[in-house]
Amino acid sequence: MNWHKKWRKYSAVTLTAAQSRLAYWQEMGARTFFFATILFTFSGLWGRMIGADSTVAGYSQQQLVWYLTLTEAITLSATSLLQEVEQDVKTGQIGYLLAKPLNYLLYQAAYYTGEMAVAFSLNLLAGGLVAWALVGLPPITPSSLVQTLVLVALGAAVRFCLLAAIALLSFFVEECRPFYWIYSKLIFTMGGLFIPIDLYPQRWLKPCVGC
Amino acid sequence: MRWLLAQWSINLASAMAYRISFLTQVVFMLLNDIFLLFFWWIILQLVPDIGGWGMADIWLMYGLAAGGFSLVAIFAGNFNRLSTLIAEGQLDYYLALPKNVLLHVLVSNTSFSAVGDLIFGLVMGAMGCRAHGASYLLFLFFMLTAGSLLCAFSVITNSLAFFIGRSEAISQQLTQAMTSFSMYPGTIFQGAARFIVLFLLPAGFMTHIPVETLRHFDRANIWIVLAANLVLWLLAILLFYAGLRRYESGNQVTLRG
Repeated sequence: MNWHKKWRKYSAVTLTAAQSRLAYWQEMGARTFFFATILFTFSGLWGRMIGADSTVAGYSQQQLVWYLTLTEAITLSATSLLQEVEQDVKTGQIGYLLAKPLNYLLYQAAYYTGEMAVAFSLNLLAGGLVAWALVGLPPITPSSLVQTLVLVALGAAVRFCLLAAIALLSFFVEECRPFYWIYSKLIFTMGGLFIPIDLYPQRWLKPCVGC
Repeated sequence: MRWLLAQWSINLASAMAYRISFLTQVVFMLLNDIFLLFFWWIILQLVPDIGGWGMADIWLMYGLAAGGFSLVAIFAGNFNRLSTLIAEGQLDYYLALPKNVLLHVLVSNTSFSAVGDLIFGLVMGAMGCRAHGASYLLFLFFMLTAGSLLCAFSVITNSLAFFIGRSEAISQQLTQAMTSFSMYPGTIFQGAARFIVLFLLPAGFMTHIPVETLRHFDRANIWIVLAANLVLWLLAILLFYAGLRRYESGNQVTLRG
């Protein structure tokens, strides 16, 4: 099969996933509500921590809130990847899926891309509006926008690999969910979900997280 | 009481059927909770305190939030699945038995990964009480009231399913929002935010007021927390039974072990 046909096949999967994601508007509404509560809480937290120079270790409240808006928009764009793969493995459904004329992992990647694209766009829109209302707009340039989008795409790709690896642990253990808990907490701590890694204590943590 | 003990022992027996899974979940939940402290450790490296809240207050807050949550998840594990059971018409089984419907539904499930939360909560409470010279018995009392508040609030949000059908997403997010607010220092919520965490998503009664009381004992706060529990449970019971009159069976044939 040539690359063109393969591309059409997997892009159809991506499109279906995006449409399916848009159908669950209730879930999206609930997620947006949760996002708003997180931004609201952290805006209050940074407000409490701000020093005499109107910054927290050099970062303004506006910068910290917009940082969180972007990181949370990615993190909250959760997809069904983990549940899907885990269920396929646990129920044996994967045996039938492997026989289909699709690469199982590429199929999951295409589906993940569709779900992620819709969820991230909506999260960014909703979170952006809340952040704008809370602390105003940050200075945005075309170059910073392009850099951000490239980084988000690369981050989403790394996330897919990690989630797929965790989900495939179902072949070896009964429940892969506990590994996901640890992964999500590592993102939370080492991944700098809530605060920029630059703010981490210098002496040992920065080398650990690789900056 | 004998019936409740029998129900919980059945739940425990079913969890024990998958021992390794049970132990893995408990250990990983414990690790998961420990990671949460890391964030506050970093924050408190940047500033000496957060509106007067130091690390010992964070320990107490997490002890109450995790401990309270674990009590509900262990003893009333269906607290956040109620809306699914209602929307899918799965209450028939409970309606046919001569037991209190709400209580029976709530206790019919147990989340044993919450044992990890319970251990974490008890240890955090002990550390926080030691640092403040506070009474551990009072901490345990507030852990009970935190769990009770969370359960009542969850019954209220999940009962929305009687009125609007599939409400799982919004019910669970409201409960999660309350749990989230209970895991941040009370002093960051000022003005309208303070009103929200006290009267709309009452996390303030779950952890903020109890932590302040453990730090500086005030008998009036105990009564305030008890009154909040009473009001929330009255609302929960009224809403659940008002909704139950509108309940429609799913006509599902199910077997329960």
